[in-house]
Amino acid sequence: MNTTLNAIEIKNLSKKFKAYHHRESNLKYVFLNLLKGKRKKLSSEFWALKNIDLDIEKGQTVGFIGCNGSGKSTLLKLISRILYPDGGDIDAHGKISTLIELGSGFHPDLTGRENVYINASILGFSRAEVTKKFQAIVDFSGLEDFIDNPVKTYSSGMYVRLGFSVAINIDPDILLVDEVLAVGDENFQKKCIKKIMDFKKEGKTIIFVSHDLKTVEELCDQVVLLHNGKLVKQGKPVEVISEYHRLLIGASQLQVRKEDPRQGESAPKDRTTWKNRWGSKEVEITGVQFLDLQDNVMEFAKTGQPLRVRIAYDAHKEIENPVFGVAIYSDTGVHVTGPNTRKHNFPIASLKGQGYVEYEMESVPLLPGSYLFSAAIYDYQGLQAYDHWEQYWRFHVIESPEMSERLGLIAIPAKWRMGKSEGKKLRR
Amino acid sequence: MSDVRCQNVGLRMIKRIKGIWEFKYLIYNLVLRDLKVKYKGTTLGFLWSLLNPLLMLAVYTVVFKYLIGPRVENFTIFLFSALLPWTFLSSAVAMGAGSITDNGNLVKKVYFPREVLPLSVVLVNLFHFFLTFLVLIPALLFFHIQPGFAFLFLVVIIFFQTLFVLGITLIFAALNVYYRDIKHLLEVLLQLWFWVTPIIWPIAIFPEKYQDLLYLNPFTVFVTAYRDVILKNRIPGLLTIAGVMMLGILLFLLGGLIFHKKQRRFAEEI
Ligand SMILES: Nc1ncnc2c1ncn2[C@@H]1O[C@H](COP(=O)(O)OP(=O)(O)OP(=O)(O)O)[C@@H](O)[C@H]1O
Ligand SMILES: [Mg+2]
Repeated sequence: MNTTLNAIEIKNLSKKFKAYHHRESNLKYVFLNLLKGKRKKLSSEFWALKNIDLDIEKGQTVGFIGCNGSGKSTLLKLISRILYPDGGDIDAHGKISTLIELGSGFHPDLTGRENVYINASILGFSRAEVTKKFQAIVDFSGLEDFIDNPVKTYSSGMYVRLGFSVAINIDPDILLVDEVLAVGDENFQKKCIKKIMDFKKEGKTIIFVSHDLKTVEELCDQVVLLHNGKLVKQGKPVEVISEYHRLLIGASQLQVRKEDPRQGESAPKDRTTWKNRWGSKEVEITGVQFLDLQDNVMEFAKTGQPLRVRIAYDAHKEIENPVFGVAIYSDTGVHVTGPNTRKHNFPIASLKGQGYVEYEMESVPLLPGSYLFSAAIYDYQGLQAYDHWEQYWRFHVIESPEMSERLGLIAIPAKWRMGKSEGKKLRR
Repeated sequence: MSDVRCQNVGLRMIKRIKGIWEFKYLIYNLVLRDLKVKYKGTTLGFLWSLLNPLLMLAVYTVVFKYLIGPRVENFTIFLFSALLPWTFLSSAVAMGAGSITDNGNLVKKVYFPREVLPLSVVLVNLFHFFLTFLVLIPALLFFHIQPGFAFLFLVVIIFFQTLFVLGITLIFAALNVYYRDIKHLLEVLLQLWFWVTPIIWPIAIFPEKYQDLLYLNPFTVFVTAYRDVILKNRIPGLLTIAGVMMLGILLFLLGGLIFHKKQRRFAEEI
């Protein structure tokens, strides 16, 4: 094997943690147990990572994705030697640095300048290196004017920026990034992404952990999917990310089956206690289903393909001129759309008993991801809610073979065209 | 077989010390930070660190001179020579015990040799120890003691005491991560240790045949060494010197080993 091509080699790596039942790092328990003359096991253990094999080539940007608690940060900490493995080996070739928000290491009484020097040395800089990098760090933070004030006079944003600027101006061979880009304002975030791009251009190896799948896809050459401490899939970003979506769907499907015998209905939450439901309930929404055109319950929707949402109702008395409305929200809370039957000129004269209303999309414009769905029935003026379920249902969109758009939130059906302007200037 | 293992431990230790040496600039910065923070905004600066032992000295002298004084000549210097080393030990251990837990945020986020944290606390206290020694010299002259050739031995004693203090600090810093009440227990232990050590009372108050028992307390050995040099202006006996060296090396190795073993799980236990 040619080791020079790999920046990191991980073999059969495992890590276990103690799962505390209650806080026992207390001498009382130790003494009590000594008195009882037994060494009772105070806590049980669980494997946060199990048998991970992974090689990362030099110069690659690799993304780690997975649900909360899947072991991403743990793996990163093992690579950076903050944690020790309980089994297996890690070989890293080159100087490793973790990009972290270091503000917590600041001492409030010392000036920004003094804290920069201390923090840089925590990251392993030598004195000469800090001196060389100092101006770059201050420039990046944009805090030139404040650098000689004690950091206790800084705003929390300034704190974070300075701490982060120290960390990002390091010069490692391998850079580990764990969800720190959410730090600072938008401008600062852009600066950070740009800096990471620079690292990439310089041929450094980067490992990038994030729940922001769009950024992962943009930045990474390879993505690794972790689930319950196991490496599930490794490969091209698009493939691994869609596997992740499938995994998420699988998880919520299981939940549906457990709680709701009506299979396929996407109702993951307890219906009776759901607090985002309101209305007079003269007519109730009894369920929502996501179907394809053949009336099959869909596991997930696909970008660019049809989707039918069936809203089942039960009207306890006759209701005249009701309006059905739906809404779709992105995972990040963006309100994507909110159509209703009145706006779409689909008058409903009256409702009585049970039935359903369907909202059909010829072509789902949503890009792959997880979405929240609301459904509601209102009176004609839209003033009185009969039954409103806010962001109650979750559905997932995955990419379809014929639709390869990836950036943004939606794919707008559109065409490109070109022509000659024949001497006339295009008006700007 | 065990030879090979011994060699491995030795090799690992050297590697570890090398790894710590790479972070010397961090150690320097941490020591500097502690000193700066301590004296920032105080006009008298370093004088404060002198004031504390001086005050203690004054109080103890006034109180005990008349209780014990008659049995001891030159009581002030007698007290000085043991109280300063003791202050070094007790404040380093008390401060150092929390050095890992107090910096939990860093330990959880960044890799650096964890030994750096207790080590820098010990160095800060060593620095203060030196400063207070500066007070000692005028005091000696005042009490008509001429520092002689034997005083060179102070360097040896201080060096091994530093190893000794470092070893204890490492042990408590590591244990404190796992058992948070260690810090409180430590305060009591240090109080106790102070009173069972012949610091403000002379060994001579014990009957001769029991005096050897006092040397079961390792700090008695250090006190004897310091007093031999400072008070009696003579080179300590071979046994005392050997004891000082052995204790220094022993605690240093023990502390280093315990700390090294325990530090593997610091980041997850904090
Ligand atoms: N110090 C610790 N002690 C005990 N358990 C821990 C410790 N650190 C992490 N764990 C557990 O290990 C598992 C993996 O955690 P980890 O932080 O690696 O998840 P993650 O994939 O980074 O999740 P997230 O997306 O939320 O950041 C979790 O179940 C977590 O509870
Ligand atoms: Mg994490």
